[in-house]
Amino acid sequence: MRILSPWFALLGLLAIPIILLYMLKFQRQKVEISSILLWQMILQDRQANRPWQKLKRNLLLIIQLVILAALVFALIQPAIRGDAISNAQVIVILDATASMQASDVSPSRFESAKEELQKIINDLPNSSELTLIQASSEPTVLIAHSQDKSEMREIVEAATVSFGEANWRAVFALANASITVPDHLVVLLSDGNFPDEDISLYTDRFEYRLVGSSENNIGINAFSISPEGSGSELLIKVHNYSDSAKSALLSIFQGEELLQANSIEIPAGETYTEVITGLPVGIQTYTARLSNDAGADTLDDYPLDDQAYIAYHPSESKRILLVSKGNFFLEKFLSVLPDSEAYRAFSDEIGGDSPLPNEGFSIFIYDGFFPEKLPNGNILLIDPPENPIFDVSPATEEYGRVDVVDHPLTQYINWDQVQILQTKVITLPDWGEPLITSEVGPLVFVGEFQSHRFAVVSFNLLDSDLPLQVTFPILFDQLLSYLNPPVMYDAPDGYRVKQAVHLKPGASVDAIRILLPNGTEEAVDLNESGSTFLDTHIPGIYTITALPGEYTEQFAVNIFSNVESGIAPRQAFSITGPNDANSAQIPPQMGLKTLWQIPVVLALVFLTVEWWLYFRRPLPLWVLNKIPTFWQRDAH
Amino acid sequence: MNLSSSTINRLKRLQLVAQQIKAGTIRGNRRSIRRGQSIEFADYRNYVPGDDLRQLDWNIYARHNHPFIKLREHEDDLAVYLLVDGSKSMDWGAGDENKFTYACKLAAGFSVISLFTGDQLWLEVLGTGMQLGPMRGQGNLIRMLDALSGVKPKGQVHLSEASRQFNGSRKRPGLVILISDLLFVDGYKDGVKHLQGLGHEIILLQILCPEELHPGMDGELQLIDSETGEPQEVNIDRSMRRVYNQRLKAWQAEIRSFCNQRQIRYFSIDTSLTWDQFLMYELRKAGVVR
Repeated sequence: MRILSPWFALLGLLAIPIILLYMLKFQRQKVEISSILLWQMILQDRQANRPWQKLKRNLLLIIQLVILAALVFALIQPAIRGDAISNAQVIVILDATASMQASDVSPSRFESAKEELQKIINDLPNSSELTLIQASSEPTVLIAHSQDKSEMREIVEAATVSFGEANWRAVFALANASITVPDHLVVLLSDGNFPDEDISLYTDRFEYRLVGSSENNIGINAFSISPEGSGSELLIKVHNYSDSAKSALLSIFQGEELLQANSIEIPAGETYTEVITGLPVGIQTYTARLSNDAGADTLDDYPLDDQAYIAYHPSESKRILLVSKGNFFLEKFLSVLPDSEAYRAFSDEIGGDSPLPNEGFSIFIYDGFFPEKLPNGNILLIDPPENPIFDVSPATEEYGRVDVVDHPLTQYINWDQVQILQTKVITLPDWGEPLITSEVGPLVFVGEFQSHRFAVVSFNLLDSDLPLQVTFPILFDQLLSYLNPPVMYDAPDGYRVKQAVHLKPGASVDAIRILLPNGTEEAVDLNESGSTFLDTHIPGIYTITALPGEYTEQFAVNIFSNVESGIAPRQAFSITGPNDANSAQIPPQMGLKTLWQIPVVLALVFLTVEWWLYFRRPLPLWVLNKIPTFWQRDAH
Repeated sequence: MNLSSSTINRLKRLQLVAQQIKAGTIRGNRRSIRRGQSIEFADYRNYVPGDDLRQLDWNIYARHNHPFIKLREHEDDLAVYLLVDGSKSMDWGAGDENKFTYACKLAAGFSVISLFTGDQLWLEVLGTGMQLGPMRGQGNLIRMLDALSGVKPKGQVHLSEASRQFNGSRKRPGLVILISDLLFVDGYKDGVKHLQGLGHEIILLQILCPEELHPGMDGELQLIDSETGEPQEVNIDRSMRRVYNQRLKAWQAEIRSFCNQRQIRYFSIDTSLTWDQFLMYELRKAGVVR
């Protein structure tokens, strides 16, 4: 045992004034009786009444001296050598990567690491400060140079594990930056699943506390789809990370329907690859799932990589059909439109052997024409004739003042220079949203009717100078984007956990909500260049909903990390330090476990007893019988 | 001090019984085993108030102008000496349970019995200087009661010294009734032995009040002796009171043993018991009176 603060022992001298005070302040109540003869018979030992004998018999004084002794004992900080850390500065790196969700240690590696961290905090001397760095894709300093243990415990309790890898270089950089005093210790609570080249710690005061015990894992490390011929092709890879052969049931789902299920057996360290062809081109979600084919509850100790997801959204160019009598400006515009294939049909030639195509195009542009039957696609009407879906009156030159309605589709549109000779008078239907209005009716409006999106321009482009204005391509690009919105995200093959999703909503999109796999929904802030969604922390299918119109798309988030799936705990590793080659086996700076709590508790107990006695609470009879009485001894 | 007439009537029917009765010098009303024998002249003695005037020798009075009583042989009387402890420690107890009051009433009771029996009575309150007697006859009753009423306990009493002084003045052996709490600073044994040394028969009545028999004090106390003013510090709790009771009983047993060895009749009296009940029933039952 060592005494950490021996000078506090001098406080033991306080016993002297306490005793003196007792001797001086020993006041008894005076009571006159007939004769003290009988009492003197009992108290034959008259010496017992000398001052020090009074003290000997005074229980309260004895208790106070015991309390003083206990407090002095606590203040001198007796300590025994234990496994507690006593460095002045302790930097703990808490591995919160996906592999820490392995359940080989109950309940999980991460929870076990948190328990270990709580022990470190409990045993930490009050003078020591602790810094806690959570190792995840974005390393976070959860506790910075704190000595507040209650705060530490709360933060550790609230810490959560991630589903991805960690940026270990950044983690160790943070740890290096947190070292500010020579008497420090860096503690790594981890299963050791990180690349060797990322370990860069510039200190030799390092302790690695391993969490985890098993390498039992088989997981999907690749799951993708690509166009192949007229259809698409699915690729899946399953790797056995264990040191023994493992078998599993591999199930592939197309949407909610089971597409294929087969039992596979993979030797240790090998990869099973399967390609499924002949899948349709259309938008679809796929799920691959590994399960135990032997009926056991769990397949392995790391279930996170037993599922993988695809949200297939084939990138196809816009196919546009223009039906007109001939419109040079429109044809020129469509020919330079990126990601689109424009086709032209003369309205005069339609009929007989040349029926109007009714499908195969995403956008139909009817210039001065209206089909007998609405096509299977969205429609842009220019100079529409009379039709059954809205009222059209003959053209007029007296259309009055023109206003541009504030709408996402009218951004960057300047109508001041546009001159129109005449325009048809259209009564705005209930489903229509005006974009540009005149005193006789809308000049441009959009809307949805019978599952079709419509964009309507009320005048003949050749009766205006609009095609000569800068506004023309802007307006028509907005209208075509409205009629066929582009894919909103940039990685149709899916994302990794914590990978940013860059959303590119069309101009007509007011707001975006994203439904996460765990059922929560998040709103995404939009700006001019789109938006970035960062909360891809859970693997699964995410659903994007664009408003207005409730247009939805889906994207998939997977882990696909060989580093994390290889859950075999690493027993030791090398770190690069000041001398460029230090071993992680450096003995940790084990500290002394202080024993101040025990005497403090004892002092409290005795204080309670003193309080009890002071107020003369009656003690239980069985206690009284067990207390040796000085008087009885003297009487005999 | 007043005694009711009914109490006096009941008391005067009683008679003190001396087991080792001493031969008297004059005839009394005491029933004696020698009653009816010769009444021949034996001697003279000084007259004391209360003597039967019929026994006064008027011839001698005429010659010497001093009264003498003719003593006759074969007639008994009993010298009764009532010694009441008048120390301050006796002034303890509330109301009728006050030890001195109780002792005085007992003394009065014994006096009534003695005076009505014709015994020669001597009353002395130790420590106060109050002495009365010798006297004989019921005519002295009022005087005796007045004397007891006026006396107050005070100071200390050393029994051995008081016994020595008593022996010096009272040579005639008789029945000594010592009423005391026996809480003498120098003890009781020497004094009792002195009294016995002159041939007295002793009845020892120890009076203690309930506060002394069952003290209710508690806590860290400084006890002050009412008699000497001497302090005694003591911590009294339940166990301590238990020890006190044990020690008190042991002390009384020791007194009883001492008295038994010396043929002294010993009675321990709790003042919560009424004095006349004790005198007329307890002492009667014990054969001290009949």
